[in-house]
Amino acid sequence: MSLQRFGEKFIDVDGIRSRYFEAGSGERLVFIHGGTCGDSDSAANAEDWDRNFPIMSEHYHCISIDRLGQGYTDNPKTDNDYQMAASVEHAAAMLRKIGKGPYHLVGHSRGGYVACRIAMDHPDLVSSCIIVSSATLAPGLGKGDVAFIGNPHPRFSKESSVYTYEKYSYKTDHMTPDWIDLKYNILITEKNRVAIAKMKDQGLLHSLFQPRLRGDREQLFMRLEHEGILRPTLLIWGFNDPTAEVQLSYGLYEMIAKHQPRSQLSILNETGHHIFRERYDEFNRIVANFVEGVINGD
Amino acid sequence: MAIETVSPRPILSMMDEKFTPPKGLDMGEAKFIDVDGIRTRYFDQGAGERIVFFHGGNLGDAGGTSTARVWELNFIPLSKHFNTISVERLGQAYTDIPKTDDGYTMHASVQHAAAFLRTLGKAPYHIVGHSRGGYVVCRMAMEYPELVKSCTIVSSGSLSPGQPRTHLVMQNAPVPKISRQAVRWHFERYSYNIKIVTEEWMDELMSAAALEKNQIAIHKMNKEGLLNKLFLPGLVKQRTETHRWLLERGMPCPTLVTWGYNDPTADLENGKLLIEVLMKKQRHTEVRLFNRSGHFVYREHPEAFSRMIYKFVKQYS
Repeated sequence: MSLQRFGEKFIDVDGIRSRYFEAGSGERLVFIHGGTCGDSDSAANAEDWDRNFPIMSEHYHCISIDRLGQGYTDNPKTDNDYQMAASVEHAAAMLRKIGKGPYHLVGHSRGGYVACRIAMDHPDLVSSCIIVSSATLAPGLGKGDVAFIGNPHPRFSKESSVYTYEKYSYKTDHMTPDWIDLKYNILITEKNRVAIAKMKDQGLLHSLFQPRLRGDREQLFMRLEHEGILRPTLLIWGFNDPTAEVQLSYGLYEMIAKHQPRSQLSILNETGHHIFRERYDEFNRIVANFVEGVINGD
Repeated sequence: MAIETVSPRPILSMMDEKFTPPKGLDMGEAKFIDVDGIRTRYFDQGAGERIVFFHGGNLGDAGGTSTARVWELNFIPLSKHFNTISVERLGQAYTDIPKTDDGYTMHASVQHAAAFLRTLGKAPYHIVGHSRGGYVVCRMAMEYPELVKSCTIVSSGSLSPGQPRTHLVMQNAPVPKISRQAVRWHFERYSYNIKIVTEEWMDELMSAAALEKNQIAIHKMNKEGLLNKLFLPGLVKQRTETHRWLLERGMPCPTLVTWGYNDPTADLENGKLLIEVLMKKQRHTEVRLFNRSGHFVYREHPEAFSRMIYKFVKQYS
């Protein structure tokens, strides 16, 4: 089930045409997907949250965005913007432009890094921060590289996406054909081919994106260690995540709990990386539980 | 959601002058029920799905008394939505002590708890157990799945694999052990924020500890040595057996494991091992950690704890 029935919206964010979905009323909840601009065997996008957005929008004002260069949001304008810092700043600028802050941010995987970073750098935009299965953010190493080695399928094929998402999953029944089709349609767009050419063929992934992210992470750890995150924070992790292993959640929680009194860690069983799809009932309950607690000041 | 709680309050450090602990709540008139000849005290409020709370500790423990009222901060708000029940375990607080020496075991405490639930006749229940009470609820779910709809295990070192550390933390308690000073000493050591150890709570614990039957239990456990001869060896043996059951067939119901991140006694490292064991077979197993909390997470963060239970029970009703 796609989010199209809620109507997609586009907004100009400093010259970047950016897509998002919006529905419901009440406290603002923003979903921030994972992945990287220029991924060729997966395509994270705003519609990854199709098991959360419709249900949560009955109680909250929900927004789900496509990050810079991902989904149907324009590619970065310069080579130098093929990095996480640009993705963070774009997401923050987009939320500022939408103008409904402060928001409860829900970020998955690389999007968890984005959520945390926005909470650190733009606290005025943020009510609380919910970080889901983010090896990008947690100290230690994710196992994504290992999990996806040996994908035998050609780039831009449905098969290569299916292979990737199977590796992410504990159970694969959340991988509906519609969902894979949405990703395939994104994979074959012209702008996506350009992004892949930049990241893979031109080599920005290894020359720019990854080294910058490594430096940014070190700086972020330093800040978490010394000043802490200024908003209540919930970590949600899948016990069986083959890529962002559960051990990472304990390390990240330790760091966040040091300065943020209102921090919780929630772990769910029998789910891989996409908890919000594999265990959406539990996920939706836990997010609502936390947001209510934040509003009440538990 | 309509959990009615006290007004929002900042989480402050124990040194902060502004921190005031939540006031105790009246759980209403105590009830008594005969459970296979054991007069058993419990509280029972509200209507709807049944949630039963089991406190921690063990009978005949001079410094670590527990009573059913320890759950007051959750029992009352949740009774607006559910039928909440809080019971005093075999030989503890106002519930009779065992009739024979072989009743001074965790096994007997589990059997008494299950018999209580059967006698009450409102099965199935959502059961919530803290510390040694966490062992009771887990074991009861394994032995009598027909009684249980969901199970919440709170900070239970007793159930976890690995070495306990309570005895290290509680070393060199003030004497005599049954004194207000000593009881306070124990509960402050359990806590992250010592201000939650209120005079009100101490009054409740002291009046239970002073009962003659509890003096007898203390004598039995310590002077007659039942603690080391019978209680602890029995617990270790049955805990190992429980872990084997959990690995082989798993919990029969949705299970929530929750812990205070700063618990000085129930070691979270052991808790992580327990989580691994519980995750093995039961799909509906989940974990929640709360920051800035010691052993009594439901007293240090009552609103957050009640809200978690409310949501969890709602989902699995």
